[in-house]
Amino acid sequence: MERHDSPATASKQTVVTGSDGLATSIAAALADRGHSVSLLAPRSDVVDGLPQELLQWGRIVARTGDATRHRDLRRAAIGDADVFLALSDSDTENALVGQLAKHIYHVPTVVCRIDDPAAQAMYADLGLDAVSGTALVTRAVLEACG
Amino acid sequence: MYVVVAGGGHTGAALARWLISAGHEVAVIESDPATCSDLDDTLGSISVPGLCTSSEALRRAGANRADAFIATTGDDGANLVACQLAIHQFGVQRTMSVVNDGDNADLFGVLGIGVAVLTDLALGKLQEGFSTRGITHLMPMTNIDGKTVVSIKIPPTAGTEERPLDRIPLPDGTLVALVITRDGSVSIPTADTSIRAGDEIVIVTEAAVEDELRDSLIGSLAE
Repeated sequence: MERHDSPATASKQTVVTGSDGLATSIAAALADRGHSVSLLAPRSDVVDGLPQELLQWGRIVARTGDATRHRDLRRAAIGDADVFLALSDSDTENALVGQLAKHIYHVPTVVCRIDDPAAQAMYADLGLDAVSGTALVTRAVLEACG
Repeated sequence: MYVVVAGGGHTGAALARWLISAGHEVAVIESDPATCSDLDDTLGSISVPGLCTSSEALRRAGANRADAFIATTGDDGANLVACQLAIHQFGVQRTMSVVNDGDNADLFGVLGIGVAVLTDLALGKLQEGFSTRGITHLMPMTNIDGKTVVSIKIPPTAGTEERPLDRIPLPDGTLVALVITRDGSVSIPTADTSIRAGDEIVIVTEAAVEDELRDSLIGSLAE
């Protein structure tokens, strides 16, 4: 991830899918760093988890929709995206929409949340930037336990 | 061939039945225990309980020795992950998937997975002449609004009577194009053509009257 003061990040168009704390927290952090964030979530109450000023200033535009529907992805401006982050709590949804973003909409940077370790390893081998919350938390907990 | 099918729902079960009848060895990965029992009761012990997106379930299903892997669930994401695991973790050479949303078909194609778009030609493509409703869609007639070419297979159990085609009431606007008898002879129907159980009828019709058409054909033999 580039630093927030890098001019390259200032204008990045970023689409985030997902509605839990991970998606909202990353959407807010990126908006804070100058990304223009389009958040596509299945529930409209996702905005409750976001800093109101980011919404008011239009740094995050939240849309209710189904990330597996192409119409909704296009409404969320996937066609203009520099970065696509598939962060829902469903591995299979993330694998599908992440690969749509990469192979069909040709978004330059795609990151997928894939919690299942076997699937995560496979997607990493396939050149998809796949991150596993499970693996990261497991490692942190094991380190804390000594 | 040894074929692993992901998903034992309507499409998966019909496909498994057809594969078995065609002499193939089949395992079906299915997460619902009741559906697993149904499969085992009707088709022999073919179910593998588990999620088709789990590497462990694929291993238990013997994916490493599968000649083909076919994903049939109603979830395109699950179908995609299952096929990709089959290809990349188990080295399966031939994968195919039902695609529930036609917009996703290109992605499956790009990733090297054979595609059957459900609601289109899918059942015909996947099952090659076997369909749970008894109707296989052969091709839409795109230049004639609403018309489509279907094949209707009369179940072998439909009765022992022969029935002349001209005595079977068919919905308006349908045209019987071919009759394929159960012993494999193909003919263009004439005034005195009869049909019987086990025959397959190729018909030009409209989607809205398909069910009525099938019921007429099959029902006429059961009378």
